[in-house]
Amino acid sequence: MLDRLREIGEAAREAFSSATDEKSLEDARVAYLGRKSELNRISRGLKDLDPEERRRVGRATNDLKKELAALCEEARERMAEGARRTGALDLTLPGRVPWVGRRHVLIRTLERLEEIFRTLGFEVALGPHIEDDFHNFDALNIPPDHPARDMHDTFFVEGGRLLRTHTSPVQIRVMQSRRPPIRIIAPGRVYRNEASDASHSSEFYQLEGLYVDRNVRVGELKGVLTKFLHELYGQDVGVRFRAGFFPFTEPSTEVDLQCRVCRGRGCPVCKGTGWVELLGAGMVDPRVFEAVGYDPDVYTGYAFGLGVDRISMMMTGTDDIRLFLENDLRFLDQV
Amino acid sequence: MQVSLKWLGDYVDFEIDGAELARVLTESLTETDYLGAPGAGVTGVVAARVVTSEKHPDADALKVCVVDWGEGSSTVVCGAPNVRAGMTSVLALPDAKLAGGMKVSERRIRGRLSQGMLVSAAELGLEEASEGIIDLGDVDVGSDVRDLLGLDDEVIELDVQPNRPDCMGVLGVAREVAAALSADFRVPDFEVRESGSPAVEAAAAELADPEGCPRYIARLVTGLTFGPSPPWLARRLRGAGVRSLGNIVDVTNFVMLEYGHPIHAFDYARLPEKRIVVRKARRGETLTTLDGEERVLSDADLLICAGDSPVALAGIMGGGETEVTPATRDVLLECAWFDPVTIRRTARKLAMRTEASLRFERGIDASAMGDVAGRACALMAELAGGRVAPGAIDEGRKDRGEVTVGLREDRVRAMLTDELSRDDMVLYLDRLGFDVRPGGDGSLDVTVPPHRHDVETEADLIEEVARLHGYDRIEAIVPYHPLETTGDPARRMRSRVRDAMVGLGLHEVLTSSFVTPETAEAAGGDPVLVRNPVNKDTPYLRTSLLPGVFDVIRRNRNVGVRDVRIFEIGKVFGRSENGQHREDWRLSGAICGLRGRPVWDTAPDEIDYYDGKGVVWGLLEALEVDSPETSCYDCPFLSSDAGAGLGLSGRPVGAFGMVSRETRRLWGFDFPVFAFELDLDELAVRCDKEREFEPLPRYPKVRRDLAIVVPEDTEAGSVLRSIEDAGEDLLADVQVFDVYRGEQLGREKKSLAFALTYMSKDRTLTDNEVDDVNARIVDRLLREFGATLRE
Ligand SMILES: [Zn+2]
Repeated sequence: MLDRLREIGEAAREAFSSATDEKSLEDARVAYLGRKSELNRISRGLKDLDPEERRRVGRATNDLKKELAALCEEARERMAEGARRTGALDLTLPGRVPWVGRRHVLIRTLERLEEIFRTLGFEVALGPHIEDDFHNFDALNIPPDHPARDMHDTFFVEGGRLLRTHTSPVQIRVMQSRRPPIRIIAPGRVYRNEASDASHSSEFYQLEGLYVDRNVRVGELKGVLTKFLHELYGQDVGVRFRAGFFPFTEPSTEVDLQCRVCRGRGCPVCKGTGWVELLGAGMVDPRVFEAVGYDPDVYTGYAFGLGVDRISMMMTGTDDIRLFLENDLRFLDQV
Repeated sequence: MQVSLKWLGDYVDFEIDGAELARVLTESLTETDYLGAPGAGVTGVVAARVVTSEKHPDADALKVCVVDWGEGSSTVVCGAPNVRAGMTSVLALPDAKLAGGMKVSERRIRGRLSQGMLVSAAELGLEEASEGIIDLGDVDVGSDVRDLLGLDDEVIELDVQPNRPDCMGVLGVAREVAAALSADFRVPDFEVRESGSPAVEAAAAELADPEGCPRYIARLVTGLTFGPSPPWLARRLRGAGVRSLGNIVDVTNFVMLEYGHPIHAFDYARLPEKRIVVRKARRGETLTTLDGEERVLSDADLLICAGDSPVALAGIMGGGETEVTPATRDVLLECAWFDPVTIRRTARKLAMRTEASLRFERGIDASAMGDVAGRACALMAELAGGRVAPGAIDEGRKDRGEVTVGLREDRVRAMLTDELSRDDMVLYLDRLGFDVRPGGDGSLDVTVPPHRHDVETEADLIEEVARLHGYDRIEAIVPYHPLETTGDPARRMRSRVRDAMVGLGLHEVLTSSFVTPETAEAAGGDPVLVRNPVNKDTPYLRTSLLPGVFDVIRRNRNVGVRDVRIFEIGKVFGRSENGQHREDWRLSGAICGLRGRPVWDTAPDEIDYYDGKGVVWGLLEALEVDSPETSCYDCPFLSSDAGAGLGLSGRPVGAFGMVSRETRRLWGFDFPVFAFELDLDELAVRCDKEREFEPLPRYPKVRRDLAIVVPEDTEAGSVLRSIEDAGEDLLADVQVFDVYRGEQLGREKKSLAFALTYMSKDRTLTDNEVDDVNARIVDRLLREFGATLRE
């Protein structure tokens, strides 16, 4: 009896899987699952078997019935699917997609940076683009005729004003307007009077950070910037702090990121050093505190600055900074 | 500042290679590049004497030479203009490798066999371009050329920061190397042998401008013979990227590079008077500098004069008349200290950033002046066979005074790390040449060495300790900061606007703040002029974002992108009523091309006014602006009959509409463009309101449609306002759902169809109530607009 069930099963599976239309499927269903099918006859004859046999055959019959019912259902769905495909609806034709807009890549980078610093407790502060000499230079310990001014080719406008050459004047404006603790970042456009090439633009974006409180130490500067870089590039990326020079910080440090192209082994991108310069930072020079009327014996703090364009270039592999302000939509859609 | 490792090795002993040294200095001092050895990879080159040199029988410009290279002699064909019998040069034998991987082989040149070649410095990688083959001067045939020319001498280049003039000299760099590696540092050892009559009898100096030149030393060296420099000197200069130009000039360059102090050699015989006067120039006075340029000066520029005749532009460049030449026998050597600001201003004004001016404007160690002058005299006497006159002409202030700065140990630890002991601090500062003595109350008295006048405060000293200790050794601390919750509503608004614009399918662009006079004029207003624009064509700051937006459309159209839907959020610049500069945040945007993306069953039309207006209204809806008002406008870029101003609560906030024919002509657009510009600061004020909950409607609404025929010039907006007004409280909403024109309506007529929705907050409306209001509305329209009801 069990052998017979196996034979029926094989034939039925073949019939269901080879059914190509409604009719052959219905024929198979009647033949193997119908009231007059052999399987049904066997079920009905179970009561005549001895108890042991009845239990074994009964289970096998039931299992087979369930299996065949599922096969039948599957075949029916297969056919419905086929009907859809040959019908009026072509699922593969394109849909009516509305216009899709995009934020500018520099703005997306800025938002990412702001988000990280926000979670580190920094708030955003902004300042004017047309600045005066005091905020852009003097208060930052860059006196007139100092060679450090060579690092800032400056645009001048009427009235002795200038276009800010960095976001650092926002530090001064914030410190003038309130008392510590201060924890701000200042993103925005800055201007340098220099000819454009693949890595220089006369208009670009910076992000400045400033933290002033009692007992701020170099270790905190390292901690916050390392955390920032790990958030941005992953926990396993190497970070190096080395000597630097900025007129408004003392001590100053340059922060390098392990080259992401060669992972520190050395390649043309990092000029073989394994490191790429990313941030400038340092402890606020006491002379800057004096310029804004803070007592440098009471307060200490750190400041840092980074180039948003440069980070965007590294993130997207863009090799020409000028592409950012050219706004070729084909480029903006890539990056 | 470029320097070779072997030159550094003259003053400090170290074992590490160039790449490692570059890394050490990068971490402790400043970014330093490893440039490699100039002749790395060069093989098969020997010192060889040219025995005979004869004209090539078949080529006028070539010579056939027999050269002796110690272990043999070869015949080579040479095209160098300076080849001559008797000279010693460098022979590259067959199979030799030269710079850039070039290989030498035996070959025929115009029919004559050449067994190798005589090479130039460029072919060995020692300089960019050479005019002839190397003249080794007096060296033995067969000498080791690699050593002689420094082919293996690795070179590093330091990005010296403006606060470190001492590192504009090899000695300063060597001091830093010694400090970073804990190695011993030694100064150059030399002896000046003086003879003849004292210098003060041969010349004098007068400082007429003690501010500009506080100290001036001059020394006299006589009986010199101009000639090539010995290989060691040429090699040192080459490693620093400087060409050898002959012994006397080379000595001045060498000493400048060594001490970081520029010196100048005058041809003594050609000084019209033997009395040096340092004074300010007279307005309009001229001097022809040794580069052949005539410089017109002002009374801010400092001159070195002989009597009253200018002979040098102080600290920047010498004059052509008194320049050292091969005929020079006697030299007056100047070693002076010039005011950095004076030098810097003149150098900038005349665009003459020379090696000398770069050093003087950063400030030079005045305490080493005697050594600098002595070193130069000793070298000239040694290399050019001269005699040094006893003594020096030395005018002006001699001592600068010591600077001592207090350093609180606690302050160092508080700033850097608790690990730093007093011994550490003393050790680091001592290695850098600071003199440290214990002061009172846990502090140190630190005397600054004269070459480090950049160090003026305690913070400067802390930096010295930090960089020698190493930033990498200071433990990073991640402090916990509570979150700040303050926010700037205008900034939040800009972010919401950005979301809305992107949601409406526009791409964000960022364009230049600088515009041309034409666009500034077209935009109107009072633009701010940049006095020194980087691009002469764009001297103004933008007063509108629209020109930049139009530029982006043009740029994209030029590269075949036809559908351009863009916006920019940025600052515009102008002047407020009291003449102060002002900056305002604006939103601008434009769309052109197709209304929608082409799909297989639809070919969308080009955009029109209503597509653009939809974008603006979509923005207002996203910003939850309730009742925008349209009005006359003053946007110079928009068409007067297809544009309008936008107002909120009676205040103008911007304009929108189709771009005018004139604007399209300016940008070369032969297609319709819709544009808008809004004042974001104003918008932020208007939109910064709390939203309030209102109970959702509980009673059913009743819809009635209404179609009227009106004269063609009737505005739908006016009709809508009248409907709303007449509908009173019961009218919940009204929409235009059709505009129709057709012959049966008659000429100059159109039909407007409205869908009116009636609803009450407190009851279910009856048919009668609705009929009443509807009738009032119809009455009003018929009266007010001369309308007829359309059945
Ligand atoms: Zn790399």
